[in-house]
Amino acid sequence: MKIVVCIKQLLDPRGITVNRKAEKVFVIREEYVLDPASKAALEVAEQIKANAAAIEIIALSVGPARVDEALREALARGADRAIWIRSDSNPDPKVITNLLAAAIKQLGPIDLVLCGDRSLDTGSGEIAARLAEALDWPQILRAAKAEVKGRVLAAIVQHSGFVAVETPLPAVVSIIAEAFSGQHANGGRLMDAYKKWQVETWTTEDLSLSEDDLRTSTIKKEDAFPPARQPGTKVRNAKDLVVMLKQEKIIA
Amino acid sequence: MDFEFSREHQALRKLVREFAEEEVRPATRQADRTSQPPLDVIKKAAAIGLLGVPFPREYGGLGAGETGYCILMEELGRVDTSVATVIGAHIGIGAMAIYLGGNQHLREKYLPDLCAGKKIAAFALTEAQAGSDAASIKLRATREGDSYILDGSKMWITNGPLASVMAVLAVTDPALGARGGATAFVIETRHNGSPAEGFTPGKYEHKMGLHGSPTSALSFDNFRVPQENVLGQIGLGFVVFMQTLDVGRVSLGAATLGGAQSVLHHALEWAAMREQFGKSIAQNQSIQFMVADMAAEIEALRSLVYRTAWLVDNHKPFIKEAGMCKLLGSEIASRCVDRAGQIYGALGYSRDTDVERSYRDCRITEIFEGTNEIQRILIAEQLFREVGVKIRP
Amino acid sequence: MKRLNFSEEPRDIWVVAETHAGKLAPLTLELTYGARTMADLMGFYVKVALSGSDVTDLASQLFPVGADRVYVADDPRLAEFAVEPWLKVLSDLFVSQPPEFAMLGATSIGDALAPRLAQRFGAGLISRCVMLKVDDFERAFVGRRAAFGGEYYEVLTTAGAKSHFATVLPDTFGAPYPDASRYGEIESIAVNLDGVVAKIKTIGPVDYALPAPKLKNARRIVSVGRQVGDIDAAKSLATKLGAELAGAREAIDEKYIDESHVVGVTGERVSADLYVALGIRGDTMHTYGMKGARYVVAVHPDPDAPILKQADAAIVGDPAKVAKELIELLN
Repeated sequence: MKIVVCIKQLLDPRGITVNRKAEKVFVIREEYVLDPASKAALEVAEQIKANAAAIEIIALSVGPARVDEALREALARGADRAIWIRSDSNPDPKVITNLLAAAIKQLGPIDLVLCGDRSLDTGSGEIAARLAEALDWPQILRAAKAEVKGRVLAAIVQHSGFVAVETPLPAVVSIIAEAFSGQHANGGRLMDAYKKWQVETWTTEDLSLSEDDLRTSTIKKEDAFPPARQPGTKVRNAKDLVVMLKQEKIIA
Repeated sequence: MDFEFSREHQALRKLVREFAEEEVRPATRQADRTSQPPLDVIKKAAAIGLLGVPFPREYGGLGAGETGYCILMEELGRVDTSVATVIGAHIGIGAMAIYLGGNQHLREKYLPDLCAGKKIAAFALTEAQAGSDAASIKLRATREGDSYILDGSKMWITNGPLASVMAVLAVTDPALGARGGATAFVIETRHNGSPAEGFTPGKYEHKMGLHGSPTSALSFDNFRVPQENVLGQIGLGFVVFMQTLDVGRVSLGAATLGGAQSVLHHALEWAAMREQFGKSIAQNQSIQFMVADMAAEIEALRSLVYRTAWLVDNHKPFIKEAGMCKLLGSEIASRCVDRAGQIYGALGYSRDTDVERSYRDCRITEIFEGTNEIQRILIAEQLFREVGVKIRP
Repeated sequence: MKRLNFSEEPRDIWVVAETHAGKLAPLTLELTYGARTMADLMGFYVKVALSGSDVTDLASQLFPVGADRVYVADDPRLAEFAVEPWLKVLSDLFVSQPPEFAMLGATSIGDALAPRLAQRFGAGLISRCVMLKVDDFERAFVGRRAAFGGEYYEVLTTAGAKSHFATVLPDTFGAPYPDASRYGEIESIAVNLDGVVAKIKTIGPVDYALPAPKLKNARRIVSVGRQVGDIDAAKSLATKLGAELAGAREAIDEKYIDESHVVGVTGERVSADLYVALGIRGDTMHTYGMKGARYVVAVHPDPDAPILKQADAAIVGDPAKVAKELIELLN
């Protein structure tokens, strides 16, 4: 059985400061990390592997050369194989999906694709459903755990609780960041990931995609900033506070 | 010249930093208060391979060399010197003595379990009457058939109450003294958690600092060691022990580097927020001078530590530099922690702050693993040797 | 990828409706109203796709908030949401009437459908918008979405595509102003679900406990000080908000929290999205640990408490009382 885990690398949020007044994002420390939701997805893959025989976990990531580090971390977190799908442009979710789907098809029969659900940075949470579309598979979104028993069984977030769902294989499942246990990468595997194992490089040419498949449809224009907060803003009562929190999109 | 760490060392640093912040930091205060080592943290460190950082992969280590080991010590020292000391005594002197002095059989027998954290190691040299004057040890090892019998005691042994494997130096030939008459052994002091026959660990020492790192005396009464457990050659144990300490000093420098870096960081953050006389105290030149001096010393220490680690990894002479790592590291850390305490004001005297704990924790680094006076003597000895003069017999 | 045939300029904005317990979802009404506002600027039509079972009667409620035409797929097989049948219905509809613009709610339904539709039709998609408008020059959606948990926004445009999709969070357009005099047309559409199987089987509610986040990583924190008044109110508020309970140093003395839950120079430094400080005075020893928090709410009875000057929202009052009112309002 083969499991593909699509992982995302992002700028470490601890390294950025947002100055709303200056309308600027300051990158104080440019460090990239593996998205917590990707870590959660890798962890689910590892758990599935621990409970079954002969499972190969393949980590895929689309991006520039720096994603190599994320892929090596994926190897340290239990992936058996890591493939960097090289993309130096700024792919949107559509293009990322086309690249991932083409790679998944090329990898031969894959039984399960795991992705992180919404990522910590811009978290559109689109990739899993898009991949399900591109592969014509069923999708389970926002799962906290998933296991394989001939089918995929998952616990998904619904309202304030969890609901058990199941679907036949092959399927795409997205895992929420909150499910991540906080387990650290294995040091020995991490060293092997750098000194012994390889990250394979695939380019768009390897994936026989059309120009149309690679054309972005959603484009980032700019950053925008909410008005700078006024420290010491007096609020009269709980009711006004709720209005403010809703305005700030802190509560729904 | 390349001042960039290799990619695997960068990855290792990230891993250890994350581990230290997420797992070690939450346990530090409890360990300090209760004087109990955070064993679950040590177990977690073992589970991800951090107890075997410098040793080759074939022994279950990470194969990250002295540089990798210094990274481990710096990042642990940044968060908790106690945990750095437990792990440092385990890897850097306990297991290291087996690695440096042991034959293939002993390495294969002991290192995998030590790297996996199944067993904790200690390094037993110091005795009540043999501290700086390590050569005057009295623990006796008497030959009996194909075994040696240990009788006597050790003192101030880090991990003494925890360890089940120890490198121990004992006198096999009193006539020859330590140089020529002392032999290093690897011994098993606990089986399934209970002290082995003839071995009694002393009570936990109540220390000024390093509360999370247990220290005790050890006593041996008719304790049997098989002859095959000799590290190196009979009579040449002092060499094994001194070589081990030479390497250990580099990583001790790294741990103090982490500690110094951490108190500087705390001092900067606090000074930026603390307001007196209507302005942030960071605007006072007296504070600025202190943080600038701290940072300059730390930067110098960092260069020294990692250059020395590079010397070790590249099999170049490093004894003088190792002494400097320990000497400068401990003194810079002490100065930094003193200044940070001043910047913190009364708060830095409170047991609730990391600065106060660092103040107590770092004092020992000027003393253990060879006092700073001994380091100066060692450095001077090397310096004179370089101009062809032997100042010690 | 299926190609949509834009033989004529469709000049429309679609809304994909959701119903709950036999009623239109408030978000659907808001989106329809938002679509109306945009359509008026552009001279467009507002079309709503309403799927479900026994939903035809609901269609007319969409006219006062701005719909021109409601396409109703009323079929018992659509009673419960399932990806495959709903996708088939919408896909058939959009093939016959290629949408230039389409909005879905940023709900579990919208999150499941919008990426699939966008991928299927090669449409641009802006997910989870907090602001959305039509750029009349580019004829594309321009939307804002939260970056890094809402610290700032990313502004995206669908200008690279011919069809423009978005999922939208509640309160983006605001409450609709219904116009009772508005009217429109209802068109019933044939539902063809031949060969379509819902592949996800729901087994039922299940108990599952997420790993507890470490305090420094917690997204929401309710933090208490000596003046909290009633610790149980604070605890209830934490539960209500899904927040971790923490406190200032002096809260240990009151046995409100243990040492591992202190925020400040003697404890943790946090980075929560929401930090509610109840009855904490706010000296530097505490605020040192709090400054990484994105949005600070402070409630304190003393109008001179320093925390009130630092909080993004400061209430002078009884913390327990405010906590109880908040719980009430959030219910």
